[in-house]
Amino acid sequence: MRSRFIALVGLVLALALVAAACSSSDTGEENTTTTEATTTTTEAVTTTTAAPTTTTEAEALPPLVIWADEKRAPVVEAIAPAFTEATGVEVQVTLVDFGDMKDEVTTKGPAGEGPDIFIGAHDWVGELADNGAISPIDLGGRESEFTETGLDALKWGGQQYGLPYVTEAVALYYNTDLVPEAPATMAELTAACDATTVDNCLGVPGGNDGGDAYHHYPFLSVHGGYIFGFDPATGFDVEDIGLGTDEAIAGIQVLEDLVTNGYVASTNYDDAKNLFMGGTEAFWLTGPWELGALEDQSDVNWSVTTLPTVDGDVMRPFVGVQGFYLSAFSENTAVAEEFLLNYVATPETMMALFEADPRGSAYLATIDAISDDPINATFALSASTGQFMPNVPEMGAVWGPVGDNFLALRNGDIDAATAAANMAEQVATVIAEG
Amino acid sequence: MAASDEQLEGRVEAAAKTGGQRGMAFAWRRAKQPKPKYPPQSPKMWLKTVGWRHLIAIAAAIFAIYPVLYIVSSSLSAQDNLAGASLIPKDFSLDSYREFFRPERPNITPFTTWLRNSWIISLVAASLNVALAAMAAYAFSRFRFKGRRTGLLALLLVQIFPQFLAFVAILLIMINIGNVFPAIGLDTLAGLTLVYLGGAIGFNTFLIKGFMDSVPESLDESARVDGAGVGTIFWRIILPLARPALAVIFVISFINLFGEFLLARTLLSSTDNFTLAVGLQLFTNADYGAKWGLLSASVVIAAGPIVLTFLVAQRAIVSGLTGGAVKG
Amino acid sequence: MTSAPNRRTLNDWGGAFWFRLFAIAVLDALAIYAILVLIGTGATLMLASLIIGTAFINWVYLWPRTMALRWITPGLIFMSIFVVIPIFYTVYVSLTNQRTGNLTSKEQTITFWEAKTYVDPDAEGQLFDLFVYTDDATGDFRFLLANEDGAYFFGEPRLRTEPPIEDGIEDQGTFAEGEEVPPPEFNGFRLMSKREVFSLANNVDFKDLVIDTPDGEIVILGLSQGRVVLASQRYVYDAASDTLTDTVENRVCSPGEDTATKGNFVCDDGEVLIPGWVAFIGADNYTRVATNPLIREAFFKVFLWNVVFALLTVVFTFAMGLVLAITLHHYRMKGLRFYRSLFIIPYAIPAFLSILVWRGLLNPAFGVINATLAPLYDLLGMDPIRWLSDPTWAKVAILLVNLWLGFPYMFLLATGALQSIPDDIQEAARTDGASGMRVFWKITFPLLMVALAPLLIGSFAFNFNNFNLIYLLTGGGPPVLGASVPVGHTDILISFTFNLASASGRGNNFGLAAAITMFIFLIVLVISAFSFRFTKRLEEIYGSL
Repeated sequence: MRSRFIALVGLVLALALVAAACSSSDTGEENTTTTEATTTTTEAVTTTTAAPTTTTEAEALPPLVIWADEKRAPVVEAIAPAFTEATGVEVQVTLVDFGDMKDEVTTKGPAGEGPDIFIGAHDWVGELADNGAISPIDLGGRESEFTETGLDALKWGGQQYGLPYVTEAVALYYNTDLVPEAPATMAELTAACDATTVDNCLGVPGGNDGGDAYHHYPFLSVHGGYIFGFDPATGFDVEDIGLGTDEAIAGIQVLEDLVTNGYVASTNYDDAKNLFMGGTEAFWLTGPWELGALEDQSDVNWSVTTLPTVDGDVMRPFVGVQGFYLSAFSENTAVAEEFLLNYVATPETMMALFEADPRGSAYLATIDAISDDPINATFALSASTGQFMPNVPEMGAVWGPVGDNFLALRNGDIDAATAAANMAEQVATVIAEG
Repeated sequence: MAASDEQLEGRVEAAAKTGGQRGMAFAWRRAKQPKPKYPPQSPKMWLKTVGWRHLIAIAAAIFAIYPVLYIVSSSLSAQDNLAGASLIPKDFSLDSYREFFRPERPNITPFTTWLRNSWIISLVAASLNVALAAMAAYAFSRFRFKGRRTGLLALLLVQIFPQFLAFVAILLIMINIGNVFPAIGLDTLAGLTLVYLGGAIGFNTFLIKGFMDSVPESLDESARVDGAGVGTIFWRIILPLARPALAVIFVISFINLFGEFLLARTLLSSTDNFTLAVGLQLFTNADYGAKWGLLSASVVIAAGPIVLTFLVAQRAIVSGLTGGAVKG
Repeated sequence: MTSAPNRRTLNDWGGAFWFRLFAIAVLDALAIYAILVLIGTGATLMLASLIIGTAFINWVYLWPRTMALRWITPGLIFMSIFVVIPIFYTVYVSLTNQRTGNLTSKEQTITFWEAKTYVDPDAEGQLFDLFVYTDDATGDFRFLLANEDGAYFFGEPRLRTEPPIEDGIEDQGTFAEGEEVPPPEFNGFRLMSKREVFSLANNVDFKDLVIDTPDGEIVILGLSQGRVVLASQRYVYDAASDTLTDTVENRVCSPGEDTATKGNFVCDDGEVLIPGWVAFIGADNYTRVATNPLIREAFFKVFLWNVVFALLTVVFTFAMGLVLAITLHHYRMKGLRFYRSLFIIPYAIPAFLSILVWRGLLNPAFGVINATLAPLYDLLGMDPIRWLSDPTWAKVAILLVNLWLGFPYMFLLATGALQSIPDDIQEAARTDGASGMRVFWKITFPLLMVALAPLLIGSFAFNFNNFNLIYLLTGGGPPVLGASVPVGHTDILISFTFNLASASGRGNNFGLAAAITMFIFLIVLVISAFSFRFTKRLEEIYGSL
C-alpha cells in the first residue's frame, strides 16, 4: 500500500517534469533574452543596437501607453498613426475616467502597469510629484509656445512637470432673449433678473445635492478671500488659510444675499445646465467645456460675458490647467517626451484637442487662432483675471469641507459667517490630523 | 376552543423537525402538477379572498417597474437629454438603439464588444462558480470530517470582511500572475474570470449545501449498495436533484457578475477588453445627463436578456433560492 | 447520523483516477515552470505561496485520506488567492505607513532620488539637436550634438548610474556653412534612421544617458535634443551605511527612526525627503484610529446611522417581500407569474445603473417623483421635498431606493419559504380554533424566521458595508454642519472611511483606512455573531456538525 503510493507520487513527478521541460524549453529562453535586454548596462546596449542595423525590420517595440479620458482619447488616438509611421512605436490609448486618473496612476504605476503618458489636472501635481509618480519634462526651449499660467501651474519644487494644454476658468453665460445686455456689475445682474420672469435667474452649480467648491470660488475671492496664502517665490502656504477671514465672509455674504433674495436657486450641476439649456434660466456660471453641449443640444440664444464686479471688486474664478504628464514609472520617458514635444505640442494637435473639447487653450498658437471668436476671447479674459487653483496635496482636504458648506448655504441652512468659520475649522483640522 | 400558545409552538417544533424528511428538493416537482379548478365566487367573496391581494400586488408592481418604464421610454425617445425624459416618450425613435449597434462607432466606445465581453465573462464565471460551489457543498453536506464546522464558519467569516482594499491586493496578485502567464494576467478576460471565481464558494456553498441536505441520504445509501462511488453519487443523484439550487446560483452569479464594475475597472485597461459595466460607467461619468438616451438604450440592451431569463426560469429560481434554506 | 461513505483507496484504478493523475501532472508542470520563472524575478512571497499551494494540491489529490478536501479544494484555491490573501494584505497595510508620499518600495525610492540631477539654476545650458550614429560592424554607437550655429560635439554616452569618465567627447568643432547637417557618415559611423533610434530608445531610456565633457555633462533630453549644461547627480546612495548623501548641500540623509518619519530619508538638517517608501510601523495606525479626534467625533453618529440603515433596510425589504409573498400565496390567486415577473425585475438590473436612474427620478426640480407629487404639495401648501439634500429626506430616499433594490430578493425568499411550510400544520392550527392572524404569527412566521434568519443576517452584514449605494446615491451627503470633520448625514462607516482615506491632510492614507477597515470588520463580526446566537437556526445548521 505504502510502496504503491510512493510509486504513484514518483509517476506524477516524472510526468510533471517532462511537461515542464517541454513548456520551458521554448518560453524560458525567450525570458532570459528579455531580462538581458532590460538590464541597462552598456553591454546590453551595444548588443541590442546591432539588431536594427542587421535586420531592417526592428523587433516589436513595446507600445507607448497613454491614458486619456473619454473626450481627449479620440484626439490622441488620431495623432497616433503618424507617430507610429515615423517611429515604429505603437501607441496604445486607454480610456480612463478623469476622476479616477490620479488614483489609478498612483496604484498601477509602481507595479509597472501604469501609463507612459497621461492627461491630468494641474492641481494633482503636488501629490503626484510627492508620490514620485511623475517625471519632470524639459520643454527644450519651447516654453515660449505656452501661456505662462499654464507653465507655472504645472511647476512643483521649481521643476516643470507636464506639458500644459488647457488653461480655463468659468465665465457667465447669459440668455440673450431674457437679458438683452450683458451686465458688468452684480447690481446690473440683479436688475436684469428683476426684469425677467424666470424663477431661476442665476444658475450656479453647487446646490441641491452636489457641493461644489470650484464654482463658488469667485464669491469667496471677490473681496479678497482665499484658500491658501500664495507667494510667487515659495508657493502656497498651507498654514495660511484664508477661508475664515472677514474678506472671505464678505464674499460669501454676496452669495447669501443672492440666495435669500431668490436670485440663485439651489441647483446642482445638471439642474443649472438643464435650466439654462431649456431657456428658463437667465444666467449660468460655468466653464467653456459646456460650449459644445450648448451648440449641439439647445435652441436657446446665448452669449458669454466675464463675471460681474461687486462694489468695484472683481470676482476671481479659479484657473484650472490641464496637461500631459510623464509617468515616472515609464520605461521609455525619452520616447514619451518625443511624442509630447513633436506630436502633441503642434498647432494641429492643439487645435484638434480644442475642437474635441472646447476648453481654453494653453498653447499660444491655438489661442491666436481661436481668439477671433468673441466667446473664446471672453473665456480667455476671464481666465486672465482668475487665480491659480492651488496645486498642493493639501487641496484634498479642501474640496469636501468648502463644497459642503457652500452647499448648506445654498440650501438655506447656514449663513455666511457660519459657513466661513466651518470651512476654516474643518480644513485646518483635516490638514493637522489627517 | 382556541389553541394555546404551547400547542402552537409544539407544532412549530414538530414541523421544523419533520421538514427535513419531506425533502424540499422535490418541492419544485410537486409544483408542476396541474392546478385544480375552483368553483366561481360572488364578487363580494372575490373581493374578500383575492381582490385586496390584487390591489396590493398592483401597487407593488407599479413601484417595481416605475423606474424601469422610465428607462425604457427614455431609450425610445428622440430626446437625448435627461431633462426632456418623461414616462411616455414624446417623440418615438429608435435612434438610441441604432447608435448602440452602429458598426462604425468610434473605437473608443465599442458597445457591442463590451456587451460580448460581459456575456462571455459572466457566462463562463457563473458556470464555474456553480461547479465549484456544488462540489464544495457536496463535501460539506455528505462527508463528516475534522474541521468541517470550522470550515463552514470560516466561509461565513471571510464573506463579511469589508473588501475595501481588496482591489489593490488583487491587482498586485494579477500583475504577478501575468508576469508568469500573460494569457491569464492583467487586462485579460480570462484573468478577470479567474478573479471572479474567488467568490465561488461562500454564500453559494451554503445555499447549495442546504439544498443537498434535504436530499435524503437513503438515496446515497442505496446507490452505494449498488456499487456507486462518491463521484457517481454526486453526478447521478445529488446534482440532478439539486438542479433548482444550481440554476438559481447560476442566475444570481450571472447578474452580479454582469453588473460588477469595481474589479473589472481595476483589472481591465484596454478599451476592447472592457465589460459593459465598466464601459458604461466611464461613458456615463462624463456628462451622463446629455447622453441619457444612449445610456438608457444600453441599460435596456444589457438588462433585457437577464430579465427575460429571470422570467423564464422564475419557478426554478424560487424553489432553488429557498429549498435549501428551508430545510427546517 | 449517517456513516461516512466508504473511503476509497488506491485500489480504485478507474478512469477518474487516471484523469486525476493527468490533471495533477499538468498542474505540477505549470507550477514548476512558474517556479523557475519566479526564481529569476525574486518574488519570494509569491514563490513561497506557489510552492506551498502546489504541495497542498498534490497532497490532497494523491494522499488517500483526503476525500472531503478533494471536493472543496478547487473552490478553496480561488478563494484563498482572491479573497483570503486580500484580507491578509489589508491586515498588512494596516501595519504600514502606506499613504501619499509612501507608496513605493525602498529600491524605487532610492532610484527616484539617485535619478535627481542638480543643474545650477543660473546656468541654463545651451540646446543642441541630437543625432545618433552607429558602427554596423561593432554595434557601437555615438551621439552627435549640433546647434544652429554649426557647433558640434561627438562622443560616446554612458548611463548616468555608471561612474563618470574623464572625457567622453571624441570630436568637437564647427560644421562649415553649406555642409549637410547631420552628415550621413561621420568619423566612420553611420547615421541611424528615426525608426532605428526609437528601437534603440526602447532598450535604453535616453534620459538615463549623459555624455561627459571636461566642463560638465551633456544631458540628453529626448530623442532629438540634448542640453550642454553643468549637471551632476545630486543624491548618492551608500548601501553599506544605508544613507543618501546630498552632494549639493553636503548633508547625509538616513532612514527615519520614529513612526512619523519611518519610511523616509531624514537629512542632518531635519528635512524629510518626500517621497519615501512603504515601511512597517506596527500598531500605530490602530492607536491613531482610537485617539484621532477626527474619527472619534464623527464615529458614533455615523455608526448609529449605519446600524439603523442596515437594520431598517433588512426590516423594510423583508416586510415588503413577506407581505407580497403572503398576498400571492393563496390558492385562488390568479396571475401569479405575471406579478412575480414584475416584482423581480428590479433584481435583474445591475444595481449601479438603477441607482443612476433613481438619482434622476429623485431630482427635486426635474425628477418624475416630485412632478408626480406636485398636486399633493399644492394641496398641503408645502415646498417640494429636497430628496437628496435634506438630512432626513436623504435618509428616506436611501431607504426607499434600497427597498426597491432589495425587496425582490426577499420576496423570492419568502415565497419559497412559504411554499415549503406544510399546509397541514396551518390547517390543523386553524381547526384547533386559532384565528388567521394568530396562525400567522404563531406558526407561519416562526417557521419562516427559522428558515430565513441566517439569510437576513447575511443581508444585514452586506448592507452594513453597502458602499456602492451610499457612494453613488448621495455620496454621504448632505454634510453635517458645524462638524470639525467633513462628514455627511448619510455617511456609513465604510464611506466615511473612504473619505478619510482619500481626502486626508496629504492625499491618500491607505494604512489608516486599512486599520479602520479592521475595526469595521470587528463590529460586523460582533453584530453577526450576536444575532446568530439568538437564532435557533444557527444551532440547526451547526449544532449537528
